[in-house]
Amino acid sequence: MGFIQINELHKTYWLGESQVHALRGVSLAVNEGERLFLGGPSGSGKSTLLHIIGCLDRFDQGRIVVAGRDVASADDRALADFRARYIGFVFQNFNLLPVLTVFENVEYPLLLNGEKSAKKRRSRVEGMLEAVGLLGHAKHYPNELSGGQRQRVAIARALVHHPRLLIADEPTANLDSTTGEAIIQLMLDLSREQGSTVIICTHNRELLENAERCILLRDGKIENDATAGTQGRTAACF
Amino acid sequence: MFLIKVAWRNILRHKRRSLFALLTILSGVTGIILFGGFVEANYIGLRESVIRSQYGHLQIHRAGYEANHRQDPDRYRMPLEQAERVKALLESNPHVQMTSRRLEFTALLGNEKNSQAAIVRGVDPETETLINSALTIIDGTDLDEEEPEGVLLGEGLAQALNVKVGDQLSLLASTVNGVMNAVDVTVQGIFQSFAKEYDDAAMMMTLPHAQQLLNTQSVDTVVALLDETMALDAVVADVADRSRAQDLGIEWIEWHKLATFYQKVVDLYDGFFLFINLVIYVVVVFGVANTMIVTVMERTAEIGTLRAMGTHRGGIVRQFLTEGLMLAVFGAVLGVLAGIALTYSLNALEIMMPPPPGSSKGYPLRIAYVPWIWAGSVGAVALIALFATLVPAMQAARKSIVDALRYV
Ligand SMILES: Nc1ncnc2c1ncn2[C@@H]1O[C@H](COP(=O)(O)OP(=O)(O)OP(=O)(O)O)[C@@H](O)[C@H]1O
Ligand SMILES: [Mg+2]
Repeated sequence: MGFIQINELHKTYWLGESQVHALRGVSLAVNEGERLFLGGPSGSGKSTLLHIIGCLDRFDQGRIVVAGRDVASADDRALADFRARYIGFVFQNFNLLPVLTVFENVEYPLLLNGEKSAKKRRSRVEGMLEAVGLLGHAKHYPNELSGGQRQRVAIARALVHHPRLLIADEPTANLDSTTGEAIIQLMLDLSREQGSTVIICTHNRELLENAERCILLRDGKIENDATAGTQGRTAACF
Repeated sequence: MFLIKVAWRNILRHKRRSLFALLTILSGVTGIILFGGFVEANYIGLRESVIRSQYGHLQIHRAGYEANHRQDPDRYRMPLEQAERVKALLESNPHVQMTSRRLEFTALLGNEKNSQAAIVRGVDPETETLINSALTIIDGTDLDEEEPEGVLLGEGLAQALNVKVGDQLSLLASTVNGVMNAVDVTVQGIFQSFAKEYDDAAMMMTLPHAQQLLNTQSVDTVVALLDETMALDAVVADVADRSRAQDLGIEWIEWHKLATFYQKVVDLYDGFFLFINLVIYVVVVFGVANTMIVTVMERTAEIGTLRAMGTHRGGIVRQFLTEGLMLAVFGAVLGVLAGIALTYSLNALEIMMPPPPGSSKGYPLRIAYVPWIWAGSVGAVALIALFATLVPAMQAARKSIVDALRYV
């Protein structure tokens, strides 16, 4: 069985009378250490799927197992602990906490995981900041950084506690293309070092085409699931 | 620590909003402190004035006096020798500043034209002056042992009789043997006390002259004045112990049991104070709640991020409670400091206040320093802030993570 196992997943949003069937039977298996890109037109259900995999949202029908855990049966508290321990998130809007410095932002997941030793936290945080090239900005506040720098901090924060799964929903949408490429590369490199599974959702065609594995969603269903050959090409996606 | 750090930075992040909440709390607490201090100063002023204008701190009578003296006044008076022993006992207590004897009776005071019933008090002039230090001689001079026939009349009584200082009057009363007796008296002075009703009927004369009129050696009361009102309980305990040991046969009554007027004023002002507290605390509730509701709204995306990373709902609640509490306690402490500073300044200005009800004299504005009100208002504001923050904090924690993350 895969690291992530999804069977016939359905999710409907209710807006008063009307309903939006955002996911209509998605089935998917992801192995540990895989790096998966998720594409598809706007409104196809990418974010919805990521939220459910990331244990941020509930679903109506189907089954999902993440890291060997049947998350549907867990309560809020258990899910929160599960996310803190096993999942790292990178968001489109960076979502750094404005009152915390770069260092403190990256330190937060370690605090959540109950790392008592300030010395250990410091070395972990500094290691991550060094890896994203922002050690010199440790004392800065997020509003003193550029978008690209903020997203680097967010990557450091998402990976500092060595999560087994990294989820990124359009992490480059607010960045120029050069910066965006560097950000994606950084995520891939760092997560490879840690052996984490990565799921990145993007509209960037080039990224999708070059992905090791690429999944296209349309109208809440998987339209295409292509794994690259040894050359690492997924032309089949398009 | 982390909670406090984050709360503090968030408070500083929106300076204007925090300042507004802070000022609301600050002015509320300052108001409570000023009003509470004003009320307390009035209690103290009124208390000391009541004690010194007639009651003294402690009045000692022969045992059974209170229950029986109206039916049989002379039998329950203290004979000369008992009064001397009581005086000696009292004066050996270091808190007792002085004692004074009183003989009380009603008599008819008049001349050829007018006559009035008077509540007469025969006193030791030397010491009574001290007990009556809140009693002002508005015309003439105080009683004097050298002028045994001199008397003081309350302002209202003098007006009713239409007499002035230097006028002669005669005083008619029945002796302890039941015979009518009369003495001549001279109006030596006219006084005002804190209570107009009392001034309408009261008259003071020297004790020997009064004893001569009633043909007795006894007195009704030995009054004691203490160096400080707070020592009363200790003095009473001492008097109880030693009078029992000496088998003195006395009873006593403390000033506050006599001063019903004082108690009524205290009850009334306690009511005002409570009401003002309630009004101010309601304002504080809305101030804090409003600030926290806006704060929670604004930080929706932040809440979503924290929850996504794995912060528990309780963690979100604690964060906002800490913030509301810190804002409130900080505002309250500043309010206490402002209250103390204003108390000091207003006292220094010596503003004159109009006479209070039932009184004939104005008094300077005084505000007391009352530490329990300071501590109480900080505590109350803290509790109220927790309560006012709880609702928005719970709302924050209950938000759906996905919706919160979408919020821009
Ligand atoms: N909270 C919500 N309430 C109602 N409808 C929603 C909600 N979230 C998503 N939807 C609807 O569900 C469908 C899928 O939305 P989703 O955000 O997953 O799309 P997406 O593929 O991420 O799109 P985009 O590329 O624009 O981010 C859309 O039709 C959207 O309008
Ligand atoms: Mg999306």
